[in-house]
Amino acid sequence: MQTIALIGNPNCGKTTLFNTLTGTTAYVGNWPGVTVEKKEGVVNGHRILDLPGIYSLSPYSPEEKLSRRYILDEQPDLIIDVIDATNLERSLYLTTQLAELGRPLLLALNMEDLLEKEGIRIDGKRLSQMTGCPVVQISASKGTGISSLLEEIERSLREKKLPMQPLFSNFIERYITTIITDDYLHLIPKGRQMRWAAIKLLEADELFLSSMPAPPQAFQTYIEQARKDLTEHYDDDVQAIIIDQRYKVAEHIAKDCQIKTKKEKQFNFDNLATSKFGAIPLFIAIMAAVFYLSIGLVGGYTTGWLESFFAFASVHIQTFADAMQVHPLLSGILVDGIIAGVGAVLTFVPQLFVLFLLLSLLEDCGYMARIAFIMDRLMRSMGLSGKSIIPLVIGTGCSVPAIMSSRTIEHQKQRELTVIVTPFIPCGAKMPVFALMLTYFFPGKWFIAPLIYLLGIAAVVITGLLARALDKHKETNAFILELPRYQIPAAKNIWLQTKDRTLGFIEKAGTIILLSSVIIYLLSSYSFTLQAVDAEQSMLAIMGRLISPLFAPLGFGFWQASVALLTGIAAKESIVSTLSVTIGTSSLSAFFTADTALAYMTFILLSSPCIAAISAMFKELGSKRKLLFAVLWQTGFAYVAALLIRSATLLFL
Amino acid sequence: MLTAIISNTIVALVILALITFAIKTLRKHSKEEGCASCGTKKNSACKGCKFADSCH
Repeated sequence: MQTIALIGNPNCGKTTLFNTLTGTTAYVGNWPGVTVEKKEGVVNGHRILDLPGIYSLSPYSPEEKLSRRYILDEQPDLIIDVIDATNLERSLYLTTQLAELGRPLLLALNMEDLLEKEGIRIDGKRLSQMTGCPVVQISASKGTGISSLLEEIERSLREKKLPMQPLFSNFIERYITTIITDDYLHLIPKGRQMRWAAIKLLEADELFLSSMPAPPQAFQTYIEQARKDLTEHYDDDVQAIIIDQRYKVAEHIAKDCQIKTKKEKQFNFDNLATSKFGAIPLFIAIMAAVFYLSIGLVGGYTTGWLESFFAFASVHIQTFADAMQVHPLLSGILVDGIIAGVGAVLTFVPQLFVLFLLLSLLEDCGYMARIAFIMDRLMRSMGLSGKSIIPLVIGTGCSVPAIMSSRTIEHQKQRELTVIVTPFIPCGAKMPVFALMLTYFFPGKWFIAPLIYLLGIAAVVITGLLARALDKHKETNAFILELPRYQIPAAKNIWLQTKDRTLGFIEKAGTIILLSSVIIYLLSSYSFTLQAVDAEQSMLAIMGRLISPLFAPLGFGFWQASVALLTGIAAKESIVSTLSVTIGTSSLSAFFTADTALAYMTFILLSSPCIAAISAMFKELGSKRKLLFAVLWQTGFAYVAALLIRSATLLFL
Repeated sequence: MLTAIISNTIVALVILALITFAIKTLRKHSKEEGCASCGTKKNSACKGCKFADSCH
């Protein structure tokens, strides 16, 4: 089995191509940085890997390090360089580096369907001559050119033809040539090419130097002199000189291979979507529309229907069970435990489906990347990386992948801060709790839902500003976020994302929620002496009363609410099922009022996330002490925020 | 009497089947799925993390 590596710039369509080639359903997003780790699949009996998107092979970011280490150490039999055909020159910069790695290289010119619209024509034959690589024009999203690509993959794997090496100016080439001829270069690790090693020596690439023994004194002196000569000649440092030389090669090839025709001037939506004053109101308006459609409109109809359905099913199954003399313990577990708990959660499936669908549409059309762009300055001003916005946006779906995606942030403090604040963004699992409370305490006031998002963002901002004020070093870093073009969302992507998220939710209902409902039912029906008792004397009530006084200032100091919060640690949806089993959703108003419901929602929104997310936080923070701090901060923050919200509600309403 | 025994057995089996399915699915997920199931000790990472070699 031969190995193929897919590599290319962020957002050039690698993952879409990977999915098309392998028939898998890896997550695709219309923004850079979706692939944080490499993914593996099989195409025509060959192993194929989707590597993270990178602009260069310089070992500065984790993605660049991962991709570079993989290619150098694993030596794939073929590298497919996925090139965004509408950004040829920039993409060729990476190609000039890949060509030096001594592996067969195939150029896949993706997004060919957009070339005509962009007024660009590319001479593939000329590009192939100039790079020494086979070139195939494809559209991964439309599926065109894939058969030619598969044929070319087979040919390239058979012939194993190496690409041409990009040549720099004579002044640099003479140093490279001299270095290559030195015996010291024979010590380079297996799989590294002489020319590549010579360039890394000139660049003083730390990762490469650490893999080499100390050079002989004479050779070291020569290298240092070469660096000095180059710096004086070009009036720049060596790394910048090599970057410049590569861009010149890329520019030369791009100029020779593509013809640009004049484009008609079109209305640019970004003038509004990324403007200083219009962007945030537009974002709020769009999110409000999303919640109106999902929770307000769809939820308004379907929640009632599904509640009636499950109530109908419960009554009839209970009647039937009584008639058949089923033991109350068994019928109780089935009806008051499983059907009440799982049913309460499943009630929200239709509105969550619409919510996931709309969020996927926003993401795939390219709008979410604009949010990242407008939030970048705000993020950096409060000590977070511009890249922090990516986990925060992914966090609207689930905190676990969101926390994992913070790995792309280079600075440790910024990364850790991002991990701590990401769970403040409401994930899909918290939505049923909010929808439940909104349905019973704020009917028709769907605008409260987007305010929950704003509250989450406010918590991120406050935590960031506090961390910034306490940080003596105040790290800042630039974030290059390329704005992807707006596109008509691909139906396949939208469907896959929406289906995966919705099925994930349903599966949770059938697993964690089902188990917790059974446990909650048993604990709320029996005493510690295992006697069937009223819920108020049950084990659950006794345990809940131990912690419920803590929540008395927030207005929900009764044991049912406290126990629901505890089961929420397993999965946030469990809060709904627990409330349903212990109180019954229709009796909620006997326990909560509008102000306590708001405080409850606030506490759930901001307190520490579910166990899966806590585990992800532990892995990313790498220390129990830091994790403890994070969980205490989140829960403490949630407590204070809930107290303030309740006080404000009592004051103004 | 017989009806009661049969119906109780059926209901118990249904509950047992649902619980078994839930536990099996959870265990399957924790083995196969992403990083949420990773341990902190060496070689206790999930399949994805082992492959990506990028667990901290």
